[in-house]
Amino acid sequence: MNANTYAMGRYVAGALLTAGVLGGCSGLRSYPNNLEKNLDIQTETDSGSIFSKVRAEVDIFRVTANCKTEYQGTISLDGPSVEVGIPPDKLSYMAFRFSNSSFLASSRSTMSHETLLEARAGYNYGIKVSYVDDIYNVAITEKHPRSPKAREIDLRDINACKAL
Amino acid sequence: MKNSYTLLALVTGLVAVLTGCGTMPQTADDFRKAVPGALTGKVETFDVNRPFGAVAKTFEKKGPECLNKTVSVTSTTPGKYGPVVSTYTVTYKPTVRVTKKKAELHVQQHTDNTLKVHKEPEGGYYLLVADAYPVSKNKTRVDLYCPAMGHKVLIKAVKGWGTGENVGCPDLTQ
Repeated sequence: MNANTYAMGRYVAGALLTAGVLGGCSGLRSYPNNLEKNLDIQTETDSGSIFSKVRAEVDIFRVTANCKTEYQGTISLDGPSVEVGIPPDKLSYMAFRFSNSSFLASSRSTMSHETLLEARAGYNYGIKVSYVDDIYNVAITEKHPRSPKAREIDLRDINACKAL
Repeated sequence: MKNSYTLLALVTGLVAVLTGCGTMPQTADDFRKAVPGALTGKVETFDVNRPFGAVAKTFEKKGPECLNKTVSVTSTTPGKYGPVVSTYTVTYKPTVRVTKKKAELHVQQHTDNTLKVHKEPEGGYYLLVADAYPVSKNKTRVDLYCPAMGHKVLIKAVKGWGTGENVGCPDLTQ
């Protein structure tokens, strides 16, 4: 029996489906990543079993004035550190996806964790992404180059956009 | 979920045993009363070296962040006339209630496309309830009402929220 399991917010699922259709069913595309880098994403993955593998990626969305998300692209988090640039002083929506594939059971599953993020101009953001033994975490800190301390940023649901 | 049909069977089993010949737990209180006597349920009690306020704050933050999720499972099995594709979705609903003397985390689960023999409470059948109480200034007691089999990742995550040692989210697809 093959089983594919997905868990993600409806916004992400709907936006990715729309992107796939508009893109001629070509599926996901690479995020251009041509802006000044203001995110440093550090990733650690360990499925906890030699019979399975975990892959981490992040889908990046632009958020419009009426809080709709527009898919911009996907970055593979296949290295310990990836630098990314998102538009400063504008709302972005990031969906961190963990895809777990089991070789023996021929099954795949995907878990998604999303957050709104407004990267302030002049600030740098550290994002620690981990998936170890079926427990995942995404932690974001914000730091100004002139400040000695970084502060933790709470993850925010897309619904928080309406309050902004 | 590594074996989605086994999971469904376990949850169904828990549901059946909890009801006996009666109804399903309709509230967290009903669930607390039913689990100790159920074959497929268990109560675990443990103390953590953290102030009650810190444990309550972790429940408040991580419950909604990690458990407001919908999991879709699509499975394909060989059929007589070709592959048979089945799809169902499981929606989790966390509820956190905090007072000065108690912090509660309730986790409910609603599954689409399944036969429901008993009345399902709003939000889904109760899957787990965790109650935290202050013991002393820096110690908190946690009572965990949960399935005796399955849902290991969820249980591991909630315990981690209690101890503060691992405050990540459970992969609900496992």
